[in-house]
Amino acid sequence: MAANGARLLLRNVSVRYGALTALDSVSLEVQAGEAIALVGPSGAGKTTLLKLFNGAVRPSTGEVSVDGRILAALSPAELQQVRADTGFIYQDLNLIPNLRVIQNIVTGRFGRRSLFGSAVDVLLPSRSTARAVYRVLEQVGIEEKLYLRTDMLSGGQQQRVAIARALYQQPRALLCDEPVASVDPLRARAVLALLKKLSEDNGLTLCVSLHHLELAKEFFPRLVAVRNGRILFDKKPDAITDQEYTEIYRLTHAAENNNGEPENTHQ
Amino acid sequence: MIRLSRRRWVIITILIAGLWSCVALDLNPAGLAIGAGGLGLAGEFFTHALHPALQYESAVPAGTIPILLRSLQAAWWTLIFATTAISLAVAIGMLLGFTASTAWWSEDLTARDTTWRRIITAYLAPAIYGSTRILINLMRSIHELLWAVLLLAAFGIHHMGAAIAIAIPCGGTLAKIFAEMIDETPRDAALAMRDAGATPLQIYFIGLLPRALPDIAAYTLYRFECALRTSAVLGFFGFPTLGFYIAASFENLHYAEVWTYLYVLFGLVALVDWWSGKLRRNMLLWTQTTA
Repeated sequence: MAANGARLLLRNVSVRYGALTALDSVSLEVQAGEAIALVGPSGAGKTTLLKLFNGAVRPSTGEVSVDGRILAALSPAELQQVRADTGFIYQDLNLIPNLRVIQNIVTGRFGRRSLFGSAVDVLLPSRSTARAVYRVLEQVGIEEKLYLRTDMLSGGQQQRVAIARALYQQPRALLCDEPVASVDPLRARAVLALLKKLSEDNGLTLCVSLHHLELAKEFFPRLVAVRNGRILFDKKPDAITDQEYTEIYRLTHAAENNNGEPENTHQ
Repeated sequence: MIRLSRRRWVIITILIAGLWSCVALDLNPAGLAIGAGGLGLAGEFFTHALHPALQYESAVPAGTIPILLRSLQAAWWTLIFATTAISLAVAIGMLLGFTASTAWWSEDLTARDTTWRRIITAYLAPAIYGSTRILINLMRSIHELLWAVLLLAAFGIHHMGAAIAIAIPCGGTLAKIFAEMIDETPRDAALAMRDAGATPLQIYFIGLLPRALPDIAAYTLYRFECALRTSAVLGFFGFPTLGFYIAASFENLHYAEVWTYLYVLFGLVALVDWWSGKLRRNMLLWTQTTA
């Protein structure tokens, strides 16, 4: 089913916020249906890199394209289509706390719904809509929470709602920003296994940012290490040398000690 | 240091302005002394507080309904005017609150710049936003009673006139507060919707409005209490609310009757206050269910 996935491409992309350079002439190609992990210390530019692919961040120079369509050349309506095809799972989930689980999940498909249709989905979801949401919740294992208020759920369950929202969107690429940053190691493996399985089942392109190199090696066939806005290496896990391995670790500690760079820059 | 001294300047300016206005109004402590006649009148009025009238103080034509029933009827009318006014005001507030907020035309810089988008974000949206703000301020800057005078001159004692007189400034205030509440709503979920391809209108009505709704409802209830008090006062212009009977009894020096109507007004306001307080507490519970 790999044909369903989107092909993501960065060509010499730099992103600058004023004097700060978040990404410095980065090139990267992700094949349709491929699964990659972006590794590196926090503040390295991983989030910025992910956000380029759905047009949440505009490159200062260089070219971002999805399936060969250059984002900067698209009209707002065309960009909206690309966004509807790209699911994003945020580090801080970005759910609406006082709405029900089903109401949060239907917002995932708003890129394909009219204003009236989306209002109906939220206020009076049809049986088929409810059934479709139920099936997505089944995939993440919390189908019994369908009608609960979102802020009644635990953190782990809320994360599953965020994943379900992205799945309900029926995307062709799934971008996940530090999905296991605030999760214990046991659950982290469960979440990554789930993301891997879901993207394989649905034939999606998967990009996950992680600062745990060990986890990345365990789950992903390709690791892209980002450091100071540049790509340090782009390899299979078993091809990573000890030196590269320690370098990432050393940098992780260095970066955590002087966490200066804003990683979660919304635009 | 600079900030501190600037603050000191502000305080000094306020003090000088306060003193100057006292001088301009020729206020001095001697003016607070009340003449013997005035004191007597006030004393007479307040002693009646202990004996509100249960019957009319003077003969009334046969068939006049009892004063207690009449005061309840007036309270009912007060409630009706206030409810009509707040309903109109909420409609005005929602409509103008939308155009007075910036949330529906926030810029999205990633796509190609089209002529349409440039027209909307550079001219159309700011023009709508700015003119709405001006309109809201005009509505708010004229007091309910002044609107009532204007509408009376235009339409005479028409019930709709009273409701509109309350609804205009109240609607303006609601619009301003609604817009600010929506603009201050966390944008995280709205961003998630935008990133999934939602349009600004979908984001406004589903990503932002429901989240601001508990606050909006609580503030509207507070404004309803204000509308109720204004509705009572509009009786002074001849509308059949409590103010009408208070003014009439006061002019006839029937102080005990005045107190009867006043107690009913207190009761009405207290009742609505209790009810809206209860609703607001419930709404707070809705928003804070996270254990």
